[in-house]
Amino acid sequence: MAQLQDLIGSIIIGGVILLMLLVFNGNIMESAGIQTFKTTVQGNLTAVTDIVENDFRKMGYRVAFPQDSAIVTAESTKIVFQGDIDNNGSVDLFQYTTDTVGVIKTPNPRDIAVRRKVTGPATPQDARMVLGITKFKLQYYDALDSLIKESPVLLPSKIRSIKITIAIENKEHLLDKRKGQRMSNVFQDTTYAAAYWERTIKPKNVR
Amino acid sequence: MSGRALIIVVAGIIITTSIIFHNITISSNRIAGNFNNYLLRQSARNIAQSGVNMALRQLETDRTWRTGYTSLATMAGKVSVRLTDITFAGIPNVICVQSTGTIVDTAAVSTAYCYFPQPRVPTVSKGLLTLNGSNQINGSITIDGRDHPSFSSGISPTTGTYGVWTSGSSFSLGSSAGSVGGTVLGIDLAPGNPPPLGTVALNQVYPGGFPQTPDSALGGPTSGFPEGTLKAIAKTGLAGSQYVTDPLKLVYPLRGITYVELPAGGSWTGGSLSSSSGVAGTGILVVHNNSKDAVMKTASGSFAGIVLADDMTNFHAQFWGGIVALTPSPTGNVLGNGSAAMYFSREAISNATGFITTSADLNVIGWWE
Repeated sequence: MAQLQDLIGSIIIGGVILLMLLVFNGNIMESAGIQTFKTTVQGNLTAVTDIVENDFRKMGYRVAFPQDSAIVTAESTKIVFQGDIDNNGSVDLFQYTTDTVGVIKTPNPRDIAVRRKVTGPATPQDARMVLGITKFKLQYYDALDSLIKESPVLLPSKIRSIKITIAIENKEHLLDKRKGQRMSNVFQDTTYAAAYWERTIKPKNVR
Repeated sequence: MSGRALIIVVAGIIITTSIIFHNITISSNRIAGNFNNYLLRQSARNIAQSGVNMALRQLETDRTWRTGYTSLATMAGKVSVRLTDITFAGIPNVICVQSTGTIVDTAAVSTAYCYFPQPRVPTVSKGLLTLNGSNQINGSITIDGRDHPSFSSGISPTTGTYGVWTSGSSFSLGSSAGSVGGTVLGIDLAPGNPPPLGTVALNQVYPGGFPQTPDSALGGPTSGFPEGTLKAIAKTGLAGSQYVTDPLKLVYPLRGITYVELPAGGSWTGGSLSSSSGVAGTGILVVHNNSKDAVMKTASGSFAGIVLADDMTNFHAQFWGGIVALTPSPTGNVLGNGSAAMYFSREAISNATGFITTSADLNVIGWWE
C-alpha cells in the first residue's frame, strides 16, 4: 500500500514538474518568437531610415536658386524634391509617396508601401519599400520652426526643416496576450511587433 | 513513468530551453547592436558636422587657414578636417572643407563647399549705354550719362561718362521728348535734343573686340570672371542671387546676380524690375542665352546696378547704373520708347558688384553629407 502511495505521489509530483517545464518551455519559445520579430522590425526600420536620411540630407544639393525649385511638392505623405544625390554634377528628382501596391497579400492589414522614385540622367530608380511600414508622415516647418499646417504646402520655399515619422510592424502577426507597452507597439495591437521612429531633418542645402 | 525517463525528459527540456535562451540572447544582442550602430552613425555624423563648423569658424577669422585638424578629440570621438582649394560648380577659388568624424569603429564624412568672394574690379561699360550696333529711341526717354547717386536725380560732378557708346554708326532720337546727356572731358552736359556734342560716341571700337558674353563684359578671366562665373554664382543663391530659365519664377526683390537664361530666340516680355510692392531691384541683371539672342522687352519698374542683355527693346523702366547690350543686330524698333529714364551711376555699379568684390562673409554654397 505504501509503495502504491509512493508511486501515485511521485507520478503526481513528476507530472506537475513536467507540466511546469512544458509551460515554461512554451513561454520561452513564445518570447524567442517575439524577439525574432522585434529584431526583424528593428532591422527593417534602420534600413528604411538610412535610405530616407541619406536622401533628405542631400536635398537641394547643387540645385540652382531660387529654392522653390528644390522642393517641388510637399504633402503629408508625399514629397518631391531635387538634389544631386550621387554627386555627379547632375540634379536628380526624388519622389517619396505611399501606396498599397505589393502589400495587399500580407496578413497585416495596416502596412503600406513607401515608393521611392528617382528620375535623373544617371540614376533612374523606382522601388517600393514593402517592409511593414504602417505609418509614413511628413510635417514641414518654416524658418521659425513653426509647423506649416497646409497640405500641400503652397510655398515650398518656406520649408526649412522636415519631421519624418515612420512606424514599422512585422508583416506576420503572432498570438500574444500581453499588454501593448510590453511589445512597444504604438498601436497597442499586441499581435504585431513594432518600432517607431521620428526625426526632424534640416537639409543644409535648403537654406 | 520511470524515474530515468523523467530525468531524460527534464534534461531534454533543459537543453531545449537553453538553446532557445541562447537564441533569445543572440536576438537581443542583434537589437542592441542595431541600436548601437545607429547611435554610432549619428554620433559620427554629428562629430563630422562639428568639424566642418569649427573649420568654417576658423576660416572666418583667417581666410588663408588650410591646416585643418588631425584626430582632434571631439564629443567622445575624433575628427579630422582637410581643406583644399577647388573649383566647384564652375566657381573658382572654392574651399572644400572635408571633415571625417570617427567614434569607436564608425566613421562619417561631411563636406562643405564654401566661397570667399574674390576681390574683383570689373570692367563694366564704356558709357551709360554700351551698345554693339546702331539703335534709336522714341518717346519720352532720358539718357543721362552724368554720374548720379543710386535712385537719385542729383549729380556727382565731373565723374560721369558718355550717354551712349556704340560700335554702330548711328543713334537717333525719334521724338522731341527724347534726350541724351553725359560728361565729356570732365564737363557735365545736361540731356538735350539734339544731344550735346560728345555725349553720343559712334563708330567706337571695343579693345579686343566687343564682348560676346556677360562674363566678358565684366572683364572676363583677367578681372576674375571666367566664362560661366556669373551663372554659377547666381545658382548658389549668394546674396539673394537667382538663376531661372522662366522669368515668371523670379523671386522679388531682385538682388545679387539675377541670371535669366532664355531659350534660343526667347524674350522676357513685360517683366518688372521691381517687386509688386514697388521695391526696386538691385545688383547685376543678366538676360542671355548661348545663341546670344535673348531679348529683354518692355521692362518696367526700377533697378539700380548693371544690366547685361543680349538684346533690349522698348525699355520702360527707371534705371541707375550701366547697361550693356551685346547684339550687333537689335530686334524691335527702338531700344526705348514710351517713358523711361536711364542714369549713369558709379555708386549703383559699385553696389552691384560690391557683394562679390568686398564681402568678408564666408558663403557655404554646397553641403554634402
